[in-house]
Amino acid sequence: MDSPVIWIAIAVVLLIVVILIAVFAGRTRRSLRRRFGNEYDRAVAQHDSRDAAHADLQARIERRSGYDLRDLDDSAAVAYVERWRGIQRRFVEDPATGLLEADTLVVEVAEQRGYPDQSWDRQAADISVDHADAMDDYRRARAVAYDTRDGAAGTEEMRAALLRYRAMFERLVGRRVDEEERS
Amino acid sequence: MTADPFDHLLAPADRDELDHRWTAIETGFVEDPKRHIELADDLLGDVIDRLEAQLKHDRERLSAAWRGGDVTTEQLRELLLRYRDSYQRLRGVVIPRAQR
Repeated sequence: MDSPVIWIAIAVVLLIVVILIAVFAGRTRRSLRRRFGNEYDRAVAQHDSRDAAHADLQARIERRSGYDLRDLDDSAAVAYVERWRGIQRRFVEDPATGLLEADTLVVEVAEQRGYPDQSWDRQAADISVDHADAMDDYRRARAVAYDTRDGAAGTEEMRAALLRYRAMFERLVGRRVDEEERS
Repeated sequence: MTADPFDHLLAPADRDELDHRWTAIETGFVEDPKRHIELADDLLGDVIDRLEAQLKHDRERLSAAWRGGDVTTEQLRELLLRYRDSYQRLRGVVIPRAQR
């Protein structure tokens, strides 16, 4: 007699639990997607499940919170911008080498900022926590830079890639490359 | 060939300004290739103009020294040495390039 009531009560509780889980998952997804942008889609595409992608992105945030990030002081930033300009000049002479130098310099600056220089992928994942909107540029530049070793990338492609590296470089250094140019 | 034959032909201030412009052109190329090719073209035109102006000016001064007026053979000889300097300076710019 009162057993249907119990079953209904259990069903209602289960429904509420399911709804809460869905709401929570939806919130997690929205917050990660907002934070990581394209990088979120990339993670989802790379992992078997959305949950695995979420775990990956959460782990990045977790790991990154353990780092002691710091801004570059002015003289260091200026010196890096100067080195970057040198790379832009050398690009004219030898685009492929310029691009690889740019890759190396970005990694170096990232390390100076406090993102440990582990594997490239690991460091890039760490950087994505703070600079998600430059990640797409950064990864695409990397792909071209390593294409050039086989002579696969054309000059225009390499030029665009150098500017993509620069987007990340400027984020990490905290200043624009062409600011002091007009002195 | 000496390091930079144009050293003898352009004033240091000119040279610094041109070098500065050239560096900016190379640096800016990745940003906007077409625009910086134009700037390079302008720069080369400027260098040519300045060299031409300087060379003509030098020659006019030498010409004025012996045209119109009594000039001794000794003075002519000294002037010829100055012509030779000028000639050799220019030759230093032009010949090595032809030999490359």
